[in-house]
Amino acid sequence: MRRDLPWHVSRIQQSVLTVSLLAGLALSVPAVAAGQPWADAYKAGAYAKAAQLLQPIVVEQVQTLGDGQASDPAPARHLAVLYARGTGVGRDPVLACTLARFSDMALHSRPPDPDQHPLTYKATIDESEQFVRRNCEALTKREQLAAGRSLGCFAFGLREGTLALGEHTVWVDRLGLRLSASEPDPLPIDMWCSQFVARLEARTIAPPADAAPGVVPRAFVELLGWQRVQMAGDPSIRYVLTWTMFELRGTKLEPVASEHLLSVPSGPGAAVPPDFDTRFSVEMIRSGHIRWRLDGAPPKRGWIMLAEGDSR
Amino acid sequence: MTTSRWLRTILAGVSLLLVPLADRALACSCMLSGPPCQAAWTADVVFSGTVRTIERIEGGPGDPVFHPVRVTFDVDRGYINARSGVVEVTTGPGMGDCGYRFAAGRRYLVYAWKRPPSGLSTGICSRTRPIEEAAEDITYLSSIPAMATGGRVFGRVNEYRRDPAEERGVDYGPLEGVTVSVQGPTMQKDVVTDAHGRFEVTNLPVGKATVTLVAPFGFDARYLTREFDIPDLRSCSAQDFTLALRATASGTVVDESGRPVAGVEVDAVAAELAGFDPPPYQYPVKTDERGIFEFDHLPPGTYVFGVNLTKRPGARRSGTSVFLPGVAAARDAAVIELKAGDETVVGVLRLSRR
Repeated sequence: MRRDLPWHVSRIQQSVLTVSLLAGLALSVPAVAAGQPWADAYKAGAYAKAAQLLQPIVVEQVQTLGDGQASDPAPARHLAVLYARGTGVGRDPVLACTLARFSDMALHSRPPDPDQHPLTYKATIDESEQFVRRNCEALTKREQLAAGRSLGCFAFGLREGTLALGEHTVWVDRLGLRLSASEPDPLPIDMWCSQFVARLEARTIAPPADAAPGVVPRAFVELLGWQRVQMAGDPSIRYVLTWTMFELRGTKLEPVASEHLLSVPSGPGAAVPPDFDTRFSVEMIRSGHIRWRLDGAPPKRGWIMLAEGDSR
Repeated sequence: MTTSRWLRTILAGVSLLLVPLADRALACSCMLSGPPCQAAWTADVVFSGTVRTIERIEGGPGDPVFHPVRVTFDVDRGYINARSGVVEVTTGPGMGDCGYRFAAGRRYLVYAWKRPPSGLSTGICSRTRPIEEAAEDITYLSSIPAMATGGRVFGRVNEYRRDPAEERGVDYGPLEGVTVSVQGPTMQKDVVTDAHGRFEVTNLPVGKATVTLVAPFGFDARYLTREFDIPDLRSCSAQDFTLALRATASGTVVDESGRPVAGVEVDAVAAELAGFDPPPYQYPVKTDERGIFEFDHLPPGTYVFGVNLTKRPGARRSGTSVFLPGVAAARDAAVIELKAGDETVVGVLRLSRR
């Protein structure tokens, strides 16, 4: 972004300012303002804790930006650095690119400070764009697409890699799930925009002992993700734990269940609630249909039916 | 066409050309034709052919878009009452009226019915389908001349199970060992379902017959006899059954002075949903003049009973909840477990004046 400088800024002033700004921006991480817990942790070198504190802040900023309000670019910027370096978190260049872009969006959301010298403002903008380039340029096209799709979703906690699902390998990245057996590469299944991924694993559900003849185990990829939601008519924000099951059907992975199981008022992080696994159960019945149940008051329950034509 | 065949056509539910006369398209509602060995003997004509033209039939009331269409086929093989040549078949336009949407140039296997005074009709409730999806039908139709071994009835018996805390149930799997009794004009035979829940009785004579299930203990014994027709010794009838476990529960509603209260709507609610205003997954029943209520067909499970325990989505609750035996709090309600086949008297529900 280029701006014409005001006429009263002399060339000497420009030179002095440019030199001093370049010196100040040589480091990719701007100075951390003390006083905020994440900043204190960052300054103290407690990067894992800083990342944990930064993630919900960045998620909250999605709403701020969405509402057209100004937002602080520093949290996303610092988190981008942590993911780019793999400091305190698993290294994730794609997420670092996403966060760099998000930080840049936050910076652009802020009007120029009237007391700030125009050159300073311009240099800040330019540097932010350079930061985005540094974090995004080296990515492949697919990774850049993934970084774009992660903007606002983030999926903190997602580990890219592979899952073994029966005889198949499932490739997990920020664009979704792919079956290695699928050729050509199909459009991956959308991960449905979780802000935090609490669990993503392969899961096979076996038939009961009294299953009907021909009933076979069913193979799934199970995703537990937290999604930040604002209910209609309710200004408060909640995080909803969404359970999604992708079933291996033939040579395809198909989403077969997506349920909002529970909600909490504040940022849960990329974790499953402590009592979740004792409250939640999934079992196959004789015919091959699968029943799920979440104990509670009242309990929630539902089914993952067999594909049409698969009934025994 | 004989009267009986025309009746069969009606029973098959193919009212294809009546529906389009309505001003607006209606949802298609009809019975499906069953397997090829059944469908072949309820249709008047069966052939394979390629669609040459499709024309809308002009005239008649209503929006022309809902008018039936005339489809011209180049028939390459006739299976029942058809020869090679050109055949016209009418059908609905396929807008919720049971009409079949043919595509010009595509080859189909067509099951059609004669439509007085002349002409043939077909629709989506028949086994009409693209030829590449008709392998099962072609196999049967090609072997018809070689068969004359007697009619056949077959089917599956599956269990349907619904939890009291759920609106809908599911197919729970096949039921093995269920006795199935088939009675024809000159025969009677009992068979037992196999591990797949399947049964089959062969060598049936031509004519009407009945198939009856003997419900195992605990299962609902209603609607277990069906009549079917064997029009030809080469035909069949598919008869699938679904059995559901059931229990009954009865009780009495009285006022605070102990007098029976008639006309009170009583809810049966899964105990785990008590106090949460669930939808009425079990139909409420009303007390008779003696204050007695009776649930005839509850799925087995653990229940509470009372009045104003449910709420339809979006509706307001009609009054204060009172749980059996006469308490306001769900935690104080009598919890009653009903097992399959139980006929339980759940007790007295005492209503207070408040």
